[in-house]
Parts: sequence; C-alpha cells; structure tokens
Amino acid sequence: MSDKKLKIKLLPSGEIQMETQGIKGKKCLDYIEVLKKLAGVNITDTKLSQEYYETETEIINTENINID
Amino acid sequence: MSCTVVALPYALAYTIGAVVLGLGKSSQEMGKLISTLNTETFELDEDIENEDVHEINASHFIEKDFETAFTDRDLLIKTLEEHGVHSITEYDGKIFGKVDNFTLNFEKSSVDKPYNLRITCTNSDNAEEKVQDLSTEYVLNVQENAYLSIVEKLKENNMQIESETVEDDNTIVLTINIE
Repeated sequence: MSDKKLKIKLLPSGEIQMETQGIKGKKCLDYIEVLKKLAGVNITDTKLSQEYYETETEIINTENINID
Repeated sequence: MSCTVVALPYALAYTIGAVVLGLGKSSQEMGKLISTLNTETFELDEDIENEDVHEINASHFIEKDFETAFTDRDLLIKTLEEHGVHSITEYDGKIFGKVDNFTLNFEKSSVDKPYNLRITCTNSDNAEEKVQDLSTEYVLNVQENAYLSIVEKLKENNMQIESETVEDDNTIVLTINIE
C-alpha cells in the first residue's frame, strides 16, 4: 500500500480542503491541479506543511561487490 | 382605464390577486379579475386608480432583499424543491417560488454573480430564518455535489479510495492512495 496519500475533506459549509501526506518538497503543489480537476474548484488558500520543506530521498539498496 | 398585461408569471399574478383582496373585493369578483389575467388586456374598475393599487400594495406587502451565495441554478432548484418550495417557475433568468407565506424571487444581476433574493410577504417575521434554512440546505447540496463529482472522477482516473468517513460535524473525509 502506498504511503503517499491525498486526504480530501468536504466540509458541510461547502468548502473543500485537501492535504497531501508523504509527498515531500514542491511535488505536493502538483496536487493542487489534481484537486482542481477532481472537484472543479477555485483555490482560495494554500498552506505549506513541514513536508514541503523536506526533500524526497530515494533509498537504493546496493550489494557490495568485491572486485579482485 | 385599460392596461396591457404581457405573460405575467404566476408569482406576479398572485400578488395582484392579493391586492384585490385588500380592496375588499368579493371572491367572485376576484376570480373574475384573475381570469382576465389570461387575456392580453383587461379593464380595471374606473374608481381604482393606479396610485391606489400601489398604495395598497405597499401597505399590505413587505419586500425584503437578501444577498445570497447561490450561484448554481440547478442546485438552487434542487434546494428549493427539497425545502418544500412549490410553484417553482422560471422566467427570463429569474426563479420564482412560494413557501409558507413567502413569495421568493431569485435574480442575478449578471451571469457570474450569485442570485439576489427578494421575498414578498405580509409578515416578514421569519424571513431571515427562511433564508438561513435555504442557505444551509444549499451548501449541503454543494457538498453532496462535490462529493459525487470527486468520486466519479476518481473512478474515471483509476484512483483508489482507501477510506471514506463522515465526521461528527458531517465533514466527509476521503483518503486516496496515489502512485
């Protein structure tokens, strides 16, 4: 199961809030467009979380190979 | 005296009929006058001047104007129907309806603006409450509409909903797996 998620909150006031989880750096801003397309909404406010300022690191498993 | 009536919407006809009641006309006479509204031209009694009609109208009916946040015609109609508003009619971009003792008239000043609401009634005691009720129901319909739209588009894009919950305050929370 992916650790990257979108949490979309539909408030009874008609307002829609979206939060990204597990998406680090500026990539999370890409999902603003996703929300626009999903709900056909105008974005009125954006708040950046700590994850925005973190960088996504890719963990690569390597084997140590001894070359004689 | 004569005047020309061109395609009066039901809500306007209701107002004119009620004004006649205010003049102390019998129901038979009122019925006769209302029936003339279906023709292009009708005669008013000679002793009724236009000024009298306006004066009586002003003294018996209250008009209250409200700004609303309603922008979507379909959602507004749905809200009105669910709220028990009857005799809903549309004419020239305006939406009319009746509920309790209120006649509702929704009209936009321009296409991209929300509707303004004019309530005509004889007693405006509960007018604000009625507008508040309509507003509450309208935004719930906005929420429902957004939910249905999002779920449909998630399916179209093969995006998986991991969980769906409704919180105590009726907030709907969708959690979606990505990648």
